[in-house]
Amino acid sequence: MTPQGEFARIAAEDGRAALVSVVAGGRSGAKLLIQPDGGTSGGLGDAELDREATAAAEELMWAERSELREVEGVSLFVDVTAPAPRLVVFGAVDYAAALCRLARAAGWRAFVCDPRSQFATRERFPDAEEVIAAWPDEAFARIGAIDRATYIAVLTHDPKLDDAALGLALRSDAPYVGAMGSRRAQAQRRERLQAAGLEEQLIDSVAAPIGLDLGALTPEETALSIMAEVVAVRHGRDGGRLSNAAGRIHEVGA
Amino acid sequence: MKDIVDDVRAWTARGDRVAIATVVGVKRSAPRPPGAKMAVNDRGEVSGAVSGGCVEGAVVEVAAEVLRQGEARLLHFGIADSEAWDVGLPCGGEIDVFVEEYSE
Repeated sequence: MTPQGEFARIAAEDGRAALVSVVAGGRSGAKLLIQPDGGTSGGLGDAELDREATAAAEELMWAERSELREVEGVSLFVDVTAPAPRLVVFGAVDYAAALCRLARAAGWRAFVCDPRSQFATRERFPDAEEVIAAWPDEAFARIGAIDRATYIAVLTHDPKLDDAALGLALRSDAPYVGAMGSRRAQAQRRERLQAAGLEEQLIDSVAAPIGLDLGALTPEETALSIMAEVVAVRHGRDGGRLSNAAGRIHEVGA
Repeated sequence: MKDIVDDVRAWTARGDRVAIATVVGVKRSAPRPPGAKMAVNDRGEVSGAVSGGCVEGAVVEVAAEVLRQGEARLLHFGIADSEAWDVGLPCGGEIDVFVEEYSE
């Protein structure tokens, strides 16, 4: 199979890969496929080009952005395919149901985890990709690698569960870990995580209170504020109003 | 890639030759981001899009040429110029589109 055929197969199977093509200044149409495990196929006809292409591919396949790069007078297009991002929600609460609805509408795959099996049911979360009635350690194992495209929201309102989920989430590759609760609840959570021996830097990285400042009142509005924050983090933004901003509306290549 | 891949693989499986056009560069405001794709088979069937409908017609013609001549092409589309009768983007952006034959 050609690198292009392989890339198509990976895209069809909702996998992750980058296909680098020479589009100008070199052997037009030459291709190199790079996969997340470092596996490659094809080549651009020059070892240095292949090296540069691989570095760009490894960056962009996780930024989930296709982009043109100029290397030694050669125009390389780095084409990226990636699965829908995952949102893992701990706590089978009403907010979680609303969050799953919005996540699905935005093209994300939501997972709901809660050991309380009377709450963690398929019926309560029809928009979730999967509902897992288990403690965080088992739930994480079932979901599979918590990678740089997995975002985590902790909504359980139960300190035991919250702390167990946060301890694992913060040590994973997840770029976002948010936790629901008031500022007072967050202060107590901080003390508990410190007592549990978590590094200060990790504790600081928790997005808590969770969500953007929308003044949300209902579960649906709160879910919107969480989803908005997650999307903003994914695209490296703070989440202000565009009418107050001057920069680019979308992040696109050169 | 995901939006056209099912058509591309189905076309290839039945023996069609297929060209793929990819947006590789975008300047200013453009309707589709880098990576957006349109596939054209040798029967003239089309899947996907590279703009908001402004340049698709021109790209389909080039795709047919690419399949005939077997050589990839890099196209540039700029701002619409009604005087020159050029194909253009009314949004005021510019896009580069790479057109090549798909080989499985």
